[in-house]
Amino acid sequence: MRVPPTGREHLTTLCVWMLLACASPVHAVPVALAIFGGENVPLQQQDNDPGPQFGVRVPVLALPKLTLEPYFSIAEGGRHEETFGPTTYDRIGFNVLSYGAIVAYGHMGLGSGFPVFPFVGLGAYRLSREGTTPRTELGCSAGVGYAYALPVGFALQVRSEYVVVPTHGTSRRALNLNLGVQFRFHPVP
Amino acid sequence: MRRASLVLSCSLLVLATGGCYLSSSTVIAQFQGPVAMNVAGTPAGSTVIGVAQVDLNLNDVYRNAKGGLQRVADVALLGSIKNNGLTVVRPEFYVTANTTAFTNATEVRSNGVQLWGPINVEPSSLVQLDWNKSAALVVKRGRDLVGREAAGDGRFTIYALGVVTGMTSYDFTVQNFHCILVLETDS
Repeated sequence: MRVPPTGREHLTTLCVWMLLACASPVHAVPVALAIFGGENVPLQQQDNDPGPQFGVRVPVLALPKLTLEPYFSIAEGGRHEETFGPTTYDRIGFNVLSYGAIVAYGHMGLGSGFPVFPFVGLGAYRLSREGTTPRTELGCSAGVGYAYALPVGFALQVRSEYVVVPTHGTSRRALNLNLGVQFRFHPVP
Repeated sequence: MRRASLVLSCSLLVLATGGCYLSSSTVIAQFQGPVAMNVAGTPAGSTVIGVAQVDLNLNDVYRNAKGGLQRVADVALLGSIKNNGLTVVRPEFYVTANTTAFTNATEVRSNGVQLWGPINVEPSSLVQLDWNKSAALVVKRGRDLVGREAAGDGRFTIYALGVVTGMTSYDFTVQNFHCILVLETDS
């Protein structure tokens, strides 16, 4: 039976990615560690309300204007309230654990140039909640972000991302809006 | 410029791949059963059972979603259960395909499949069912049958039964019964 990776394993993958990037023969490749948080807004899902989203990312400026970025994120769907008969009930939203990578056209705060970057991504999305059989699906995302470089290797990022997770003929879709802060640790600022 | 074209091509590919999924939605359909269903039984085998003949076609949400219905993602039974006796009762629900009218628990168990439960309800107490816990108490075989009926003519029958434990009788009432379905559609 296939066992889904745990959160610890996802973090280990991120750390390995960071070490490989730092050990790259191209020593000047900028690598950063970012944390982010924001809002996850499910689209056309009556049983799943907006909730918080947070996670970590490791952007690597692989080419002058092309950034690769593995990520790990958790989104909590909000409780959906509905009245049936004389009683109001609530259904908890989905807990969405995702990990994957995006490709962005831009420096994402790791270099100089135009601060806006479009991106596309691919990842695994694990949807779970009480009373629903958990499932892990391959999903994709696309969006646009804005990076503002700060002194000593720091940068701020704002992103808007549209996510589609196919689920056997239909899909669960969401809009993610988040704010992140990153620190470039390689090369050392 | 070539890199920009590559990124743009990838974006278009992702959107095209997801294109058939961009119009899907998840909606909640409900069926309201009898306001009160009395259920009773004795160790000797005589039973009074609760019956809810479900016709989803009476529900606007279901009628609108039926054309693009892909699957029933979630089933829950809501309402409250009042134990009228002085011993613990164990209510459970069964489901049969189509509209049926069985009159005792033996017939229901041999012709239907278990949909939900059982749970324990303490003597003289009232349990308000929780949407999340109720969804977790749904039995897969029963949910599959409800899914098939929802994809078919939308008619099935839910029976409230009691589990006899030891040599005790049971007597409880299911109040404000609702059957809730979360439907995933491609339209």
